[in-house]
Amino acid sequence: MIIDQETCIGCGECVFTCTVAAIRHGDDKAVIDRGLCVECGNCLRIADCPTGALRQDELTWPRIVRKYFSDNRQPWPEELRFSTGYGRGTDECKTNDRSGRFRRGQVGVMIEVGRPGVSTSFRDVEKILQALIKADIEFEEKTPLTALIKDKGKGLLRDEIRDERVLSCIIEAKIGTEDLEKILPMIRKAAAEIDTVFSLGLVTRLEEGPRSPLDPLFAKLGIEPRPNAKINLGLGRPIFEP
Amino acid sequence: MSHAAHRYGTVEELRRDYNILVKPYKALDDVDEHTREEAIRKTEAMAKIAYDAGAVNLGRRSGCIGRGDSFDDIMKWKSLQGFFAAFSDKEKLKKALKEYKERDYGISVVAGGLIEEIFAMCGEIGIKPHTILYSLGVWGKTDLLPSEDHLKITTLCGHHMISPAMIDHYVGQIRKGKITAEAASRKLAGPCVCGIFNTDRAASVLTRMAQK
Repeated sequence: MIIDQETCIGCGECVFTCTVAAIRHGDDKAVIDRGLCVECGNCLRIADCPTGALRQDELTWPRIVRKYFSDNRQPWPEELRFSTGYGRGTDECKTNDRSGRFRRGQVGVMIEVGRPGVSTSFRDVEKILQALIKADIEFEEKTPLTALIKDKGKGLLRDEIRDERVLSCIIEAKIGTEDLEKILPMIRKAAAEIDTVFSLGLVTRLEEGPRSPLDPLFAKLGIEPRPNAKINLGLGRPIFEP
Repeated sequence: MSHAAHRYGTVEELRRDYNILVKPYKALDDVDEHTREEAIRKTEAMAKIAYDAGAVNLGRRSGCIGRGDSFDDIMKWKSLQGFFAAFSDKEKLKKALKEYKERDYGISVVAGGLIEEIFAMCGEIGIKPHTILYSLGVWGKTDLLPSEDHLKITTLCGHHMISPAMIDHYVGQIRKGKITAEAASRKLAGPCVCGIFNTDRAASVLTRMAQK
C-alpha cells in the first residue's frame, strides 16, 4: 500500500483503519511504514480517501506474500495453493467429521503466529518451526505455509521471505497424544525467543460424547485451556469414525 | 478461521457469544455438478435456519447482515465456501442446531463458545460432538498486546481486520454523542465480512469503554 505524498491532504481517514498501526499522521500528511504494512487492504476498503492518495501498488514476489497471508479476499495463485486458496487458513477441525484429518490418538497443534493483532515476520515463524522440528513432528502439508518452505526436514523457509511481515501465519502439525507432554515445553521455549505472540490451539477427537482424551494430560501438566473452544458437532455424513 | 476458538472474554461475557461455521467438504462435495449443487442447496437451507433462529450476524465473503447487507443478497453468491453466524442467545443457537440434527443435512457444523454450554446443548439435542479445538491462550511477548477491552472486540473477527485504533476512534465518537454504540458496532462489523463478528457483544464492550 502506498500514500501519495503529493495528493494526500492529511485528513486522517485512513490512520485508524490500519490493522497493525503502520499508518500515522506525519507533519501534515498521512505516512505509511512500508516495513510494518502487511498489505491486508483494510485501509483501502474502509477509509474514504478524498483524493485517492491511498493506493494499492503492484505487488511482486516476495512482498506479495504479505497480501496472500493478510488479506483473506486475495486468492493464492494456483501453483502456490496448498489449502483453502485464500488467506492463512487451513481446514483444521472444520470438516474433521468427514475428512478424518485428525484421528483418535492424534493431537493437532495449531500455532497462529502474530495473533491476536501483533503481526509477525517469517523470521519468527521459522524460529518456531525449528523448535518443533527437533521433536520429530509431522507438519501438515495442506496449509498456506507449505508454499514458503525451502527445507521441510530442517524447518527452513525460503530466504527471500524471512523479513516479510504478515498479520498472522498458522503452523499446523500433528503429534501422538503421548507426545504432547514433550512438545509443550519446546513450544514454551520458542515463545520466549520470538518478538511477537501466538495463539495456541490443540485439536483432538472426542471420545464417547464430550469426553476428551486430553483432560488427564491437562490436569497432569497443570494446564487450563480457556473455557471456550471450537467444536465440530459430528453432523457431517458420511462420518469418519477411526 | 481457527481464531474463533480464541475469542477473548470472561465466562459471563462468553455466555452471550456463540458462533457457528457450516462448511462443505470439497473432497466429497466438489466431485461433480450434482454433489456441488446439493451441497450449495443444503448450505443455503442451513443459513436460512440460522437466520430465522435469530443469528445476530451471518455472512460469507459476499457480505454480512451485521453491517447491514441483506440476507437474500448475501445468499445470491453460489459457493461451496459455507457461511458463519454469531448468536447472543444460546437458546437461539440451540433452536438452529436442533433443526440441523432433525434434517440431517450431512454438512459439517462447528460451534464456537463455552465448552460446558455447547456440550450441554449437544446432550439435550442428542448430538455427539466429534472433535474439539481447545485454546491454550496467547504465548510469547504478551506485553505487545492491546488492552483486554480491545481484545474482547478484535478477537471477534476471525481474520483480525478490526484495528484497536478503529475501536478507539468509535469510542471517541460515542463519547461525543456522534454515534450510538450499536451503530459503531455495525461500523466495526464492516471489515469482518465473514459474519462471525458478534455486534451485540461489541456494542456492550464499546458502551463500557465509552463510560470510562
